[in-house]
Amino acid sequence: MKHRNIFMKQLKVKAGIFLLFFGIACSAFGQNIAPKNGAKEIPDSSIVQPTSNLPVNWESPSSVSTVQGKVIDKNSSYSTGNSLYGLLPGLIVRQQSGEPGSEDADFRIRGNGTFGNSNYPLILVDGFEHDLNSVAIDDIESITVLKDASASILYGGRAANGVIVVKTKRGIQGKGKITVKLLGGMQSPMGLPKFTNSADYATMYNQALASDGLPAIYADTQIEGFRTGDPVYYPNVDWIKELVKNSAPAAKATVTATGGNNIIKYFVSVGYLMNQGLYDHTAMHDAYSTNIKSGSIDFRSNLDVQLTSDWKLTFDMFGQINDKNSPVASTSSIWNSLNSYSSTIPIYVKDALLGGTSAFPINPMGLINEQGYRDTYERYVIFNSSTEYNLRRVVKGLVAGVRFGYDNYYTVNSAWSKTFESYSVIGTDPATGGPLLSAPFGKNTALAYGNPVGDSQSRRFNIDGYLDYNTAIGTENKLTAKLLYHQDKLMLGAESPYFNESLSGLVNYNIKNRYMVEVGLSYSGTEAFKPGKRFSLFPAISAGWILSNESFLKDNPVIGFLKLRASTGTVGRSNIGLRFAYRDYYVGSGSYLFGTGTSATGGYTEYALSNPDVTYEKSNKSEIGMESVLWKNINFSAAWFYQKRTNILISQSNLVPSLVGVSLQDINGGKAESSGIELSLNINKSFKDWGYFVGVNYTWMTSKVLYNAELPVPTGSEYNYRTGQKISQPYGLDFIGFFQSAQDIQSSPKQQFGSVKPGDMKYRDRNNDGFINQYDEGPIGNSVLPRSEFGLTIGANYKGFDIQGVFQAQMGRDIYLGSNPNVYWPLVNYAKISTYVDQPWTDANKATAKYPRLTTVSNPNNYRPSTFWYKNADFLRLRSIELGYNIPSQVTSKIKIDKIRVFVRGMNLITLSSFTYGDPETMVGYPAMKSFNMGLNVQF
Amino acid sequence: MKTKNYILGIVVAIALLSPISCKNFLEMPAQTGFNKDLVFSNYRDTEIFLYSLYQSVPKIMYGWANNIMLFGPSRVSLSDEAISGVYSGFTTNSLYAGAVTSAWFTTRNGEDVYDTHWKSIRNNFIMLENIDKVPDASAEVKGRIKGECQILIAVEYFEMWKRYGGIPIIKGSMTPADYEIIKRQSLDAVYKYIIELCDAVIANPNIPAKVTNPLEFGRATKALAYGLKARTMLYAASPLFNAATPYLDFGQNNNLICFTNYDKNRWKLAMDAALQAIQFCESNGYAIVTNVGINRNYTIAVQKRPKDGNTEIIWGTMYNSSLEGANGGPDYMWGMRGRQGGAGANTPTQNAVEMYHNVDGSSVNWDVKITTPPNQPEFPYKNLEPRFQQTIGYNGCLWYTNPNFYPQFYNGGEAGVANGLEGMKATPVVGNYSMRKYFIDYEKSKSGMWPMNPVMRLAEMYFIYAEASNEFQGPTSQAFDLLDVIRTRSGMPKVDRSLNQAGLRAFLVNELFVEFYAEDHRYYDMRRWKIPGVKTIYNVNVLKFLNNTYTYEKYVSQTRVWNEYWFMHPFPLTEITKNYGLIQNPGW
Repeated sequence: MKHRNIFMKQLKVKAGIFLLFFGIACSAFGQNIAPKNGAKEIPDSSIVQPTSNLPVNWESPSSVSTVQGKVIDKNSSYSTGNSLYGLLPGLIVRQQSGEPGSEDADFRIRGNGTFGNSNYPLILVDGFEHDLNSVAIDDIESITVLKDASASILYGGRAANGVIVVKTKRGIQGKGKITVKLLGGMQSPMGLPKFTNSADYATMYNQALASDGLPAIYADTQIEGFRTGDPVYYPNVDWIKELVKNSAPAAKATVTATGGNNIIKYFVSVGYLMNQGLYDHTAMHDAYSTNIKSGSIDFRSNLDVQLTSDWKLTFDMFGQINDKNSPVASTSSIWNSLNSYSSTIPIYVKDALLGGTSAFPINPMGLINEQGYRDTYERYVIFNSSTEYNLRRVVKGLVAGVRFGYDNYYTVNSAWSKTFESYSVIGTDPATGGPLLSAPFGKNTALAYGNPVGDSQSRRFNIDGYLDYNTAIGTENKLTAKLLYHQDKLMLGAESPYFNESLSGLVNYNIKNRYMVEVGLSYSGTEAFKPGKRFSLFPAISAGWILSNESFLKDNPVIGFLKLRASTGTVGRSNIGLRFAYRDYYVGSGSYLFGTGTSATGGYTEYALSNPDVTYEKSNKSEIGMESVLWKNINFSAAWFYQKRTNILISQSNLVPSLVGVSLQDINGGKAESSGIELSLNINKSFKDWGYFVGVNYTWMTSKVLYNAELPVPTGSEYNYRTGQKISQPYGLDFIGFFQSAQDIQSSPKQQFGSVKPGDMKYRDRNNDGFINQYDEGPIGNSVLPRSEFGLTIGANYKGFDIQGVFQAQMGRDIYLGSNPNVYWPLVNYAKISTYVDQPWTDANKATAKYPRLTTVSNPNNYRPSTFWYKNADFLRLRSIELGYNIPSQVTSKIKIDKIRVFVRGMNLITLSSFTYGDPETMVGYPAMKSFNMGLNVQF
Repeated sequence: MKTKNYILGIVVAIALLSPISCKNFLEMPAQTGFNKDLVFSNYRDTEIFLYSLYQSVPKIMYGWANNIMLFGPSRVSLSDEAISGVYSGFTTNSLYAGAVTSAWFTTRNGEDVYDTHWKSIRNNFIMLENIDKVPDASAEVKGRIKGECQILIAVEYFEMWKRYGGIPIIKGSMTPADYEIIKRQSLDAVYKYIIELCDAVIANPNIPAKVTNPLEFGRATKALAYGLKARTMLYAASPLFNAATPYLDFGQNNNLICFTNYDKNRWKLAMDAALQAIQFCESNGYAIVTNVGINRNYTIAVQKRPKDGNTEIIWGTMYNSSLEGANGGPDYMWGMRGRQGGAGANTPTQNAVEMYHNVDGSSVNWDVKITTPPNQPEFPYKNLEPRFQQTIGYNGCLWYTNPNFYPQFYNGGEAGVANGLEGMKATPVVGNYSMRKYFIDYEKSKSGMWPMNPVMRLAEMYFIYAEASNEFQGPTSQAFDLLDVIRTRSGMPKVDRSLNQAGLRAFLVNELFVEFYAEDHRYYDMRRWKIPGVKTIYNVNVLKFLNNTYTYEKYVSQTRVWNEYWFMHPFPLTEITKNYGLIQNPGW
């Protein structure tokens, strides 16, 4: 505590000195110049222009990419994250589930940099950390990705994984404009698996039993019955077809208003989104539906108040309420059931009585529709406010401000649930001739309200104080400087609050618009580490040279703009998944029973030994890049980047002897490096009646684990080490064929995963020790994170018509079929057999078999990571395509409307992939969607 | 006006910033968590810490949920006492097949988990080092707890010593900086350390001879120190350790795995220690259970707690939760195959059945096919001794009454009433027997079942005396008398007084198997006697015919691997490659 106080004093003193120097420097440079006006205003046409002629960051030597809100708008899906595919070089966006209300995409900036707990970037919305879901698409002014250390240095201790900066729209002075946007469409699932029919299933099940040396359980008459089909006695139920609709509607409406005078400017928006799920037969209960239906309403008001010519205030509010109806059963259990529940069990045995068995009493129809419904409620409230004072009367060019933000997220869900009976058919009732039913499994109950669960809340309080300074030095040089003090406090349920505190500064010195140097420093602190280790200093420096402003290139007809830049620096990450590791503590340790009774006594025991040295994960990033404008309408940029991560948390269990008798906290020992290149090319041309543009970006990345304390492996198996391989590199065995005979098994290295039979998978003995075990596992293929990503935006306009499309491709990625065993691992854990299973091994087709023998018993030999189960899943997707028409203003002005635009937009309409059976991205659970939409934008 | 605004702006800015800078922003709020100082600041919390020391005491029955032993099976299945199912996750199967290396032990468990011993030792030292700080405990209470810690440390050392030989000796809780100097000490040094700890407890006036308050049953006593001392001396005297050269030549490190000399006097020490233990116990209220009848004495002695009349138990360890219903718990692993989801992870072998004799001393001839009279499936077993009837379930035995239930352990029969739920795969058959020991009184329902692990019983002291005295001086009447007590309380005839030294030795091998079946004796008895593991495991094939007769035919159900270097356990490869000087045992 005492230490802490001294520290705070020191911090204050340091901050004071910094401010003093800042002030002196500012006043010394004297004369103020007008705010930077380098970048041209981006022309406001309906056709999207991915870039203006000059790069947005042309004055800065650091590495950033920006996309404007209007570009995002044209590609917008029903969630913000899913609207960013392929738009920003270096931002890898991966599609996840298509479930309404849960469609969050996954982001990486330039791939994986660490094998620590998270590679997820920091996302800032208007300066403060927020979830991307807490921004409505129509409120986005721009999204900027900060990639190198120099660009993100202001966020020093939080910036190691890169930063995504979202700016929301602000009011534009002038007559009030109201824009109404309507969008509606249908979406349908992609890549749903198919399963064999009951007759084939029964035949193959018998085949599997035979290969296990067990007698068949399906008689020929039964198989014949399945082939003929009878919904009760010989069912052949395609559960997905029965319960998953081909399409579901979604609709969105937004009203935004902007305008203002020289005192008050406003941007206000209200949006509503309705997004429905795919489940079928959900309307069988009068009072409620069990389908997914996600409703979301959001509201934003951004106000700028110019109180005096020097004093500006902002008041921003955002609120969002999401209300989602869904079946009581979890999405994962529903899709697990749809993909594994046997086709040989009837949906209904009689009237409304559901089919089932004693072991599997809940069929998917009951799971989705007869267990009641769940209501999930989410609420975001964000309040930001700032005051900014122009101190030009004291020091010209100096602006001081304070920003304050408070947010609250709350979620809760409550279920109205019930249970139901199901029955097996055990014969024919001689009396009625109808089916004879077993005793019921389960019990019918009435709908009952359950106490709310999943009740959780997070609150964050943020405050920034800043000084901005810019001045001209002499007539040709410019200095801009920023000083930012930040702190935030996050309260997550019962957890001890999370804190961040930092003081950062950034100075940019520009000589004749030819040379610039940017130096940044951040002194960042967190509560998670020991006093003395809480703060860390992060530096960054970058330099740029605008060759096109040199005399030898001035007015060159080809090169309109050319900049070379280089940067290096260190940023960090305090959110490493380990807090307070510097403390020793004692924890509850289960219990032990003494005496005569049957109730045990709890105990305390020592927790892991503390590590007082735990500190930031550090990322040293370096980059060399160039940006250019050629022939006036071609923008080309390239960058090479390199990152070295140090201080990655690693376990000490492989380093410290067991003798010490206690586990130890992790240490900052791991190291990894990653690097890659990034290219982007934009061509933009317009003529009298028409224009076109093409934007291409490409990112290639690689990584390497440099040190991770690993368990030793036997000599000869060094490939087994993860060190030296890529981060998240998959490991497995090398599949070399199927065992053809008992002799083959006898003469091959002994496989130690379980007993093997002919038709089982045979692996290569990588270390030639005569055994196949985990030490024969080596790096195989690629992870699901691509090695390179490609984005292509193309478009054209002719008079009032315009068309544009965005393609995204990811290359060098593999999927592991074992991550969806229901589809790819036949009969494992009572799975069905999907149509992917092709020619399983039997005695008859041993030479040509393409799948291991079917088996009904657990087979850890076959069903484990190996090259057989890793499939390349490169893909190219048409993420969006839009065709629009702007009604000529001569027409609209007659009805006193500024603009009317109608359009059709398709999302994910085309996918080309080397993996064709299922969706190459969303393998498990609720499928990803493609959609077809129509929209209308009206501006008054 | 403008100046006013200017001042107002500054005021607002200061007002917004002021609440922040006035407090220590990053200071963590007060924690509710405990640390060492808090634990030892009062007796109540100290006692709670004491309870945690007992969580790692040796147990006999392990489950799957515990996930700490053989991934389901228990030690009983590593010896010829039992066999575990073919489920591939059971690590017993790798051990039977010989497919293990020291690297294997870094990721999987054999019958021992190396680091848990050191954790337990550390925690006991933490108690020893801090107990004197507790303000509200009497010197007597502190003395008792110190004694308990010492005996628990001795137990851990004994468990490691018998497996690994000489190991590092530590005498306090260590920090990561300390361990580098720790090397393996000689077998003799560790032996002396265990005896020193036992003697310290024996000399401790504050530790009770026997738990008098039934609510404290399970806590270590002075009797345990006597018993552990005798047991340690028995191991020290036995052929594996008591030898000039070890089972495999280990060069200059021979002293890590044997005493490097044979000393007959070690048998005398063991004999004397056992006699002292017997005398101490019997003068302090312990007694062999002989008063409940020949069909029940054994059950009381091995399964019941003192509150149910067990006067023989020196140390029984308990589970920390009810075993009922928990899939993966010991009941599931030990339970009757096919019934209540039993996995048959520990199924008695035919080898075990053949160790038992008929009550008249004769034995069943299993080498010929046995055909029963009609409707008498129990025929081959019906005259086997009461201990057998209380230990192993077989085809046609009366498993429980009201209504009578006779399990059908024949091909095509139903092992349990609830066998084979639709869609469930039957557990593969590994043997036509089922564990009954520890389940007596709970065959029908495990409700309320709280089995005790009989880690040490007074009967063991009788056997140590008999064995050690036989080795030291040949058969004595005192040894025969002690063995007769054990035999007769279970309805068996007295020991044949005409046995010579070798004859009594052979008799003891058999009798130890029977008396301590599934009490974790057999596996380590075989090792200390330097007898290779049994390779051939038998089962019996049972068929039922239309005339309601049954046939029993013995067959080889498993051939196990045995390697000479298996006499000692390997250190996990990880420990060796951490390079702090730990020497691996030979052959591994």
